[in-house]
Amino acid sequence: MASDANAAVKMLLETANLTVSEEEFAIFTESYPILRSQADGLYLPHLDPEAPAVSFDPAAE
Amino acid sequence: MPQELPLTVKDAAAALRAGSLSSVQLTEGFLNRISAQNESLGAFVAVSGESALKAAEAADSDFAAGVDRGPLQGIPLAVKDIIATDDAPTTANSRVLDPEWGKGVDAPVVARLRAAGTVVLGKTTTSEFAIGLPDPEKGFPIPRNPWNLDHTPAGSSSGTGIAVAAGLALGGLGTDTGGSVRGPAAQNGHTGLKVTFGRVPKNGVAPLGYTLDSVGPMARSAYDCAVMLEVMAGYDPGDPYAAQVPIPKYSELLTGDVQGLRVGVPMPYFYDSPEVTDEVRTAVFAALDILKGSGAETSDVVVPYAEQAKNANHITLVAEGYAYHRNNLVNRWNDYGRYTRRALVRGAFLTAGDYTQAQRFRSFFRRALAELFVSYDVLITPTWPTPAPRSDEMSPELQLRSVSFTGPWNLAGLPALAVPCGFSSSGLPLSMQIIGKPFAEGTVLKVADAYQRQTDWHLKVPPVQTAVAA
Repeated sequence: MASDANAAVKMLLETANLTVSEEEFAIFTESYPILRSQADGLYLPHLDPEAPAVSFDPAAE
Repeated sequence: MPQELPLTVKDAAAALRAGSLSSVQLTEGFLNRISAQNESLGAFVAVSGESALKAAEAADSDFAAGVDRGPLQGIPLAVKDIIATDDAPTTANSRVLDPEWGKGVDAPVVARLRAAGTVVLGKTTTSEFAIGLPDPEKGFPIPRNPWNLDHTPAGSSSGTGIAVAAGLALGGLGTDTGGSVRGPAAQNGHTGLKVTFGRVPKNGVAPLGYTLDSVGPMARSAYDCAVMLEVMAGYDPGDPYAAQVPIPKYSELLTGDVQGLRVGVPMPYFYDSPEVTDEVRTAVFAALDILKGSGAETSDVVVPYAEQAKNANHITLVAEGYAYHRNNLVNRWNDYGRYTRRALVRGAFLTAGDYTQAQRFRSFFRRALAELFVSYDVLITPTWPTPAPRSDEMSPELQLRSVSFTGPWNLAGLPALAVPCGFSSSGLPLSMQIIGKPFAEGTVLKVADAYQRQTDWHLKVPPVQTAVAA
């Protein structure tokens, strides 16, 4: 599991072109599963009918 | 210089009109206090003494000429250092922000306060770009809680919170994206209002979460916040999120009458989370008893998916913040404070789908709260689960794991007010939060005012001020 987080964080940082210290990388690896779990926890079945709370007005100046 | 300065905007306004105090005397008094205490408290990044005294002289001239612009005329206030003012640079407490940003310009909310005759004392400390924690290596003042310098004053509107609590200003501006007005108000021991999203224009304010940010008044009392909001609120075409909604005369709504007011008390999450201390719970329950004694009706309710709402708010905040900062994070990673970059980088760890799903959750949560508010006028929770922790125990990772009683209301865009309601055994302030319907700032202020007519927690002054004033 830790190696999964390690690989994911490494890939995400590289994709974002971010270079971080070893200490920061270790912190991110430890906290990433928490963030991932919080995001995954929003995919609730009863939200299927919901549209996102964003709006766009094509006529706005 | 007066030996004692008024504690509230209301008292200062009365003294100015009675002629017992001039705005220049008032302003000099606060500037002297700032000079004496700022090094230890870290409240101000920049002090605008010259322009403040000039504004105070103008206010006194207006009084002498019979011109009265309202209750803020001649009142010294502080402005968070992510809000543009024309008399001081805006740094966002960051080495990254372009020094030309906002230069020589007042944000509309500041322009409105100046037009009402206020005196801007200077720019107050913020967490860098309103996120993260202070990094002592970056050269900005380190804000400290005036009740105990080893403890956090909370953020991100740390400096305004400290200034109001320690008597370095009568009020000020903060911004709130996940609790940044209410946290400092709670942990420094005064009142602070997160307004309905769109109620106050936020152009001229460095963004954090575009769809969450709000500018709010911070002051000792609900009355003081009300008179500030009367000036601050209203549409501005420069803010695409600004609302065109009528502005009530908030101060006239503060009748002290809460008879029959329906108060929902959401026990799950907000009261029963393990992080909530007994002292916090007891203090908020005691506040509820006072409101009940005044005729309010309380009952237990459930705010559905409160924990997910906190998470959705955080995901929205870091995703939107990351979009704003992405290029600078790539090119100037080490110029950001160590805690700022650790928080902002989370936006790179989320997917576009995660952000969109947070907005789908937001639609659901907003509607669920609207249904709840059919039966209730306000909800009341603790503002923070604990009194202010020690600063050296704070980290962005701890914040990620912790409950938040403030973030859900940013997600829903609702008004929410932090109100002092006691002290811990360690001498640190405790606070309750009053949440209302969209644009019902008048109701939450009325409830707080009714409570503050019967209590004096909001008037308590930390010992550091007593020591200096003696």
